Amino acid sequence: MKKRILLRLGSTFLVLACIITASFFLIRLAPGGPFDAERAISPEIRAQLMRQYGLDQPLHVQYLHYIENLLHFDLGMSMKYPGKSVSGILSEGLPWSAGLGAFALLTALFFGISMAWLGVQMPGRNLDRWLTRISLVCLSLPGIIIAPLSVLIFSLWLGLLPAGLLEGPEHLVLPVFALAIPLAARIFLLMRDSIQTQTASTWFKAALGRGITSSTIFLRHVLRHAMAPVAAFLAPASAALLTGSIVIETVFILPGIGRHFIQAALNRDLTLITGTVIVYSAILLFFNLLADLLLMLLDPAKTDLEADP
Amino acid sequence: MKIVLISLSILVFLFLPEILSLSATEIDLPNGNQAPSLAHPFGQDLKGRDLFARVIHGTRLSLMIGLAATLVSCTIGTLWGAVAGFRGGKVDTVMMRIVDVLFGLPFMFVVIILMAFVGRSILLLFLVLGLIHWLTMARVLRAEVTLIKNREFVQAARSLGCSTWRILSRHILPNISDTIIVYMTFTIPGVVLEEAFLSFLGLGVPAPEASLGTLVREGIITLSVHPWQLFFPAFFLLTIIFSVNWLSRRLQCRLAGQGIATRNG
Repeated sequence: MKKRILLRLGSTFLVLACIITASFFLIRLAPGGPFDAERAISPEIRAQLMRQYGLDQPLHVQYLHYIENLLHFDLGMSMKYPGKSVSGILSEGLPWSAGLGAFALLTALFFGISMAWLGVQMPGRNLDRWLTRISLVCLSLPGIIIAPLSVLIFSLWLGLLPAGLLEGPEHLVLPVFALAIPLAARIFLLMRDSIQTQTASTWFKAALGRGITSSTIFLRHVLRHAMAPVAAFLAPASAALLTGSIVIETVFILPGIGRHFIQAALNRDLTLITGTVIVYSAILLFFNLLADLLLMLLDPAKTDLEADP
Repeated sequence: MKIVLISLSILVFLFLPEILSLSATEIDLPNGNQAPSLAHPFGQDLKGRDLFARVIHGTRLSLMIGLAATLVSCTIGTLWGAVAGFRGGKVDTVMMRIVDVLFGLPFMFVVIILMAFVGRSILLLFLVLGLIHWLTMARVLRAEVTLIKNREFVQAARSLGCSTWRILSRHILPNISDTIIVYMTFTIPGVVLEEAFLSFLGLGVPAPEASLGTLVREGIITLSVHPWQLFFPAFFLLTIIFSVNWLSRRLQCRLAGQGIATRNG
């Protein structure tokens, strides 16, 4: 077990190193430079700019320099926001993005799991059937639809909630729900199916027969087994949250890092893109790791079998 | 019955612009931002283009990109998974480790950077979107092939001297085709959504072509004044994704046989 966790940790760092290297070279080798889009600038100024950002040096020298700085958490200076460092820009935006993502994930987990339990707890009342239908619709509601629609309904028509910007806790309600709803639907469907598999099993009936209340069985036994597919879903969910947060931050004009990323890609702000990609990859890898560790905890037998093919 | 209906309507939508001979690019500046009327059932956009024609064209474009990218990813995924599962041993381990590593990569960001740097083109769009989705497919199919390859009929084929390729294409693939189809229906809404996402950010289909994502983006700009410019494309996008999601859940339940999750829809 310990050895497997260590191996998994090691490979995660290896992959992160590969991503850093690949993104550095890909972004710098791609056509178009940071100073192309502006008005024609004289060759002297251009050379001066290139020298200032170290772009005139050979690529491997730049790379070594970049890695050296990275070890000090210095991601270089932004090429489009003069005088601002990439680490500064990212550490300003990251708390907002992370907070938004964390709230959305918690909301989605809460609603997904509790609805699934409700549906299973009350059979024969069509509740489960309706929940499944609603969740299929919610699953098809991507951020780019639900975000503007919720602004239209709750802000413009009903005037209940603010439409954007970040000036207080009520400004987070719409973004969090817009981000959480499709996720909650996916978690609901996963949970519902796996709870049904568990409750159809003989050990569940045996436990009921021994007079244990169904909520005790649910909390102590069913939940643990039924969580496995949800834990496995954590990795793709984090990817969905990351891409989703780009849309949500764009629509609601939030100060997260998602908007910076798109702007940087369009502006060819090389240092800012590389920095954002590294941060995003680290988050994604962390969630992949977390999902694997959770799976190991929830169901040790299964993962041990899969470990040696 | 409903499954047939959905498949048929997808076909119809692929050819609808030709059948109705609609023009999505005809500009009529004096009549910009007109509300829905008989002549223009969905109204007109900022430049006076008929929104109905734009939505129908956009639906086709989104569906086409969804189908093409799904084909790309399913081809790669099927081949990768089938070869890894069938060969087994070292080849299998190496191929699946590659998949594991790729799984951890932030693909959408690579796509965004590619679209921003290389330039937007429809061909590039469905190639890169196809390249994202083959990983799950490869994993699932590898598991299926590993289960199936020791069955009697495969051994029989092998002892009759069939080549590896023949065993794979004639004996193994037909037996896992239902899984392939289910995973295709999984992939389509994902790709359609990602295309809409890219177009929404202004990184998808190049102008003057407009996919549903582009139309949603345009609709948001005029949201407070002309909400129908958002409603129609959003409704079509929602319908596509919902019907394919529904289809995929139905197929899944049918394949899983009786028991779990058969009572929905």
